[in-house]
Amino acid sequence: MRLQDTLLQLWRSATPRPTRSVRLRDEAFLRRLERLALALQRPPTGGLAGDHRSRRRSDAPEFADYRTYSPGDDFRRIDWKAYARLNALYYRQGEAQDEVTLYLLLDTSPSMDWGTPNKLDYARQLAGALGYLSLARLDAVGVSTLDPRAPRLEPLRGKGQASRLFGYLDALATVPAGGAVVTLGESLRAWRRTARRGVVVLLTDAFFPEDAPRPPGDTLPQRCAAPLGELAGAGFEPVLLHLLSPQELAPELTGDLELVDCESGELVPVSLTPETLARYQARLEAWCRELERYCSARRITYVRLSTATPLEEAVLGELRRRGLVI
Amino acid sequence: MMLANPGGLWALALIPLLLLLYVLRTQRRRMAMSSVRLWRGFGEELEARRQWRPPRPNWLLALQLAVVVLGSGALARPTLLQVTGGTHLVVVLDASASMGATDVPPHRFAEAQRLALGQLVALGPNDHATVIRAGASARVLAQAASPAQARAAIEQTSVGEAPGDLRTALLLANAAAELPAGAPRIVVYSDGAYAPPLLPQEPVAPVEFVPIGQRDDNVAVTALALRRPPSGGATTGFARVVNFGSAAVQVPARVLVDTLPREVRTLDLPPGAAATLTFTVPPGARTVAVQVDARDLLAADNRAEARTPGSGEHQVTVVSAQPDLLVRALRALPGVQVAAVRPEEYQGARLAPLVVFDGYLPPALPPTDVIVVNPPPGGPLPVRGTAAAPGVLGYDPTSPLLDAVEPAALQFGRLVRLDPPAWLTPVLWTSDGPALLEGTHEGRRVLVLAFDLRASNLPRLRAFPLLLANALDWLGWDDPGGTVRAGQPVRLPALAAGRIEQPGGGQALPPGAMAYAGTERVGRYVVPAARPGDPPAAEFRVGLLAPEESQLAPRAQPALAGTGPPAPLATPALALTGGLLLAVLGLHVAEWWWWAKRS
Repeated sequence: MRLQDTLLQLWRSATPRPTRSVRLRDEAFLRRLERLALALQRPPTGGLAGDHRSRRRSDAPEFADYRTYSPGDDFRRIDWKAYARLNALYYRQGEAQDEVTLYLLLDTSPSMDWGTPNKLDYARQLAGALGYLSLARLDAVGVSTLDPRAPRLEPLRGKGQASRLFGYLDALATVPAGGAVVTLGESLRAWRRTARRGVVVLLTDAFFPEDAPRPPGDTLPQRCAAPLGELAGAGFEPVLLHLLSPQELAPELTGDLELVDCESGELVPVSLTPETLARYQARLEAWCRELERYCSARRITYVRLSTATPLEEAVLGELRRRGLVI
Repeated sequence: MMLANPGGLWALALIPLLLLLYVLRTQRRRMAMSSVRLWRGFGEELEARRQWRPPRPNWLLALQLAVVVLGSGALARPTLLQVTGGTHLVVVLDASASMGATDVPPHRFAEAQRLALGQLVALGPNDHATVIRAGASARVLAQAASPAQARAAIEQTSVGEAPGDLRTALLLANAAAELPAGAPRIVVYSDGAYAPPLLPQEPVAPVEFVPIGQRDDNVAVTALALRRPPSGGATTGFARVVNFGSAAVQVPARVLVDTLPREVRTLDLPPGAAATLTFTVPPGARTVAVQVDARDLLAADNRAEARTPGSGEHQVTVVSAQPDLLVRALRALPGVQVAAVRPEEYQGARLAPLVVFDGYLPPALPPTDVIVVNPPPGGPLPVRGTAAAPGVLGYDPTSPLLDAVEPAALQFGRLVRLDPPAWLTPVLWTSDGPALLEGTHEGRRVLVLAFDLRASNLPRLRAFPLLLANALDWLGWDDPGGTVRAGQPVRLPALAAGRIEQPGGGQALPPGAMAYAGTERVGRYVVPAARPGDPPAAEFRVGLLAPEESQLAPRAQPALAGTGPPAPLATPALALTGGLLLAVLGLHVAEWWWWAKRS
C-alpha cells in the first residue's frame, strides 16, 4: 500500500462523518412529491399497467385511434356512426397506460463521501425523493450502486415499499479507497445485463475512475461519460444528476498545499492564489459544459446540482425546470 | 521630528527576515480532495515544488510590514517638534575676581546670584534653565535643567579670584541655546570687568547683559617681580600699584620679607595713577610680598607675593665620577642647590627631585626627574656603541631646550649611539644618531645628552649654562618673576602626588599629575613632600595681577546687546510613540481579522 493510501485512511479514520438518514419525514414534502411524476422522453411500450401513457393500444375506454375491422374483433367497439357515413367498418382503439421502471444508480466511490453537505448523503436523499414519487405513481423503482459487488434492490412497486427503498439507501456505504478499480463502463455493462428498459438516473460527481492513463490536463468528459451514451443506445432513458459540493464549485483554499486524491491517493502540490483558483473554476466550468454538451447530443438528461441546494428546491425546482419531473 | 532612541530603527532589519519567510516555503499542508483531476497540469505545479517562491502581493504581508515599520518607529521614540511657549533661560554668571567687589553688599557675585534666582522664579514648570559659571574656566553647572535644579546650581557656586573666561562661557551659552528646551534667552550677569569677549558668529538667541556694580574704588598691586642681576649682587624688587578709582587716594604700601614688614611707603595716587615701588631684597630672603592697606572694594588685588630667585629651593643631585663641570654650571643657576654623589655611593644616597647622571646609570631610573649625560652601556638606555666627532645634522627649532642655543657651534668629540625607546624624542641629531633627547617615562621627565661632555666643546661655550637653564625650565622649574597669575596652570615636578594645599583647603592630586590648573584663589600653594621632613615637592604663590579685573568701574557691553530677535526653536511637543503603538495594535487586529476571514 502506498504511503498516500495510508495517510488517506488515517485521515478518514480521524474524521468520522455523521450519516444523515435518508428517511423523508416532512409530510408536506411527501404530499408534494406524490403529486409529481417522472417525465418520460419516450413512452413505455409494455409491462404492467401503470400511470404512463404507452405506445401500446388496448381496449381502454380512452379513444386513441381507428383501424379497419378484422373478423374476431369485439363488435361492440365498431364505430357505427362512421359506418353510416362511410359504409365501412372501423374499429375504435383505446390508449394503454403502462408502468415505468426507474433505476436509481448511485455512485458510492470515495470521492462521493466528501464535501459539506456530503455528496453521498445528498445523493441518497435525492434518490429517496425520486424513488418515492415514482412508487407513488405506480412505477417500479430499482436501486443499485456502481459497485457490481454490492447488493442491488430489485424493482419495487407501490408506496408501501417506500420503507424498503429508504432502508436500502440508508445501508449504502462507500467503496473503501484503494480497492479494486471498476470503471463506469464496466459497471454499466454489468448492470445492463439484468435490467429491462426504463429510466436510469445516475447520481454521481462524475469523477469516475479512468479507463486508461491520460496526459495531464486531459479532462474530456466523453471519455468517462461514454458508457452513458451506450446506455441510451440500448433503449434506456439515462439521466445524469451531476452532484458537486460547494467546496468543489468554489474552493476557499489558499497557500501552499499538497492535494491528496481521496480515491487514488495521488499528491498534487499547488500554490493557491486567487489566479490559480480562478483558473481552476474556469476549468471546472468548461468540464461541466462539455459534459452537458455531450449528454444533450445523446438525449441524455443532464442536471448539475450543488449539494448546497436544499432538497425540496432541487426536486421541486431544478428537476422540474429541467423537465425530469412534472 | 526628533528620535529619542534611534537604535530602535534596527528593528527594521526584521523586514528582510519577514520577506524571507514569505519567499521560503514551509512544509505544505495536506488537503484531501474528492479528485485532483482538475488540479493537475497547472503551470504553478513546477513552481510549487520549489523550496522558494517569488513574493506576491499579499495583504497579510503588507499588514505585517506595516506592523514592523510602525513598531520600529515606536521603538525609536519619535517626538514631534514644534514651537511652544516654553522658555530656555541660559544664565551666565561672571565669577571673575572683580565680582568679589563689595560695593553691592555682600559682593557683586551675590547680587548676580540674587538677580538670576529672581529670573528663575518667573519660569514655569515647562521652562528650562542652563547655568554657566564664567570663572577661570567656563563650566556648565546645569544644562537645560528644571528651574529647581538651576536654582540649586546657582546657590552652590561661588566667586573666584582669577580673571574670568567669558568668551568660552558665551560659546557654551550659544551651544546651550540650540538645545530643544524652549525659546532660548541668554542673560549675562557681569560687571563688565574683562576684555571684550568675542561673540559667536551666529548667535541663536539675544544676549542680555545685566550690569552689576556701582562704584570703582580700588587700589591694586598689578605687578611684582624680583630680579637678581646676572653679575650677582642683591636682588631687586619691582612692584606696581595702580589706583583704578575715580577719586584720589593715599594708601600705605608695605613690603614684607618672609612675612615680616620691611618697608612702608605712603603712596598718593590720583585717579587712574600708578606708582612703581623699587626695593632691595635682603640676602637669604625667601619670599617678598607687597601689600597696600587700602579700604577699597576688592581685597584680592591688594597683595602680591613672590618667591625670591636663588632662594635655594631647587635641589639637584649629580651622580658622576667627575662632577665638577656639572656642579659648577648648575650652581650658577638661581635657586639651585647641588649635591654631588659618586657612582659607588649612589645606592643609599638621598636623592633630590632632580638627579643628573654623568657617565653612570643605575639599573633602574630613580623616581625623580632625570638628566642623563654620556649614558654608559648596560643601563636602562640601549647603547649601540660610540661614534667619534659626528657633525650636527639638524635640530628641532621649536624645542624650548634650544632657546638661545646655537646648535651649529656644538662639536661632539664622542657620541654615544643610542637605540632610543619610543618615549624619547630627538631634539638634536647628528650623522650618527641623536645627541639630545627628551621624553616622559612613567611620570618622570627625562633629558638625555648622548655625548661625553668633556670630549665636546660645550663646557667652553656660553650655550652650556643656557642649555642647563632651559633644561630646568623644561622640567617645570621655571620661576618667572617668582609668582603665578591666578587661573594660570602650573607645572608640577615629577611624581608629585597626594594633595595640594591651597587657599580655602586642600585638594587631591591624581597620580602622575604634571600640572595643576586650579589656581583660582590668591595665596600660597604647596605640594608636600612624599617623605616627612623633606622640603615640599612644589611650592608657588598665586596673585591676581590682572589690571582688567582690578578696574571695577561698571562697564556696559554694547556688543552683547541687540543681537537680534529670539529665534524660535523646536521643542518637544508631542511624543508619537503612543500613537504608533496604537497603530500597531490596530494593524494586528486587522491582520487577525484578515487571517480569520481567510481560514
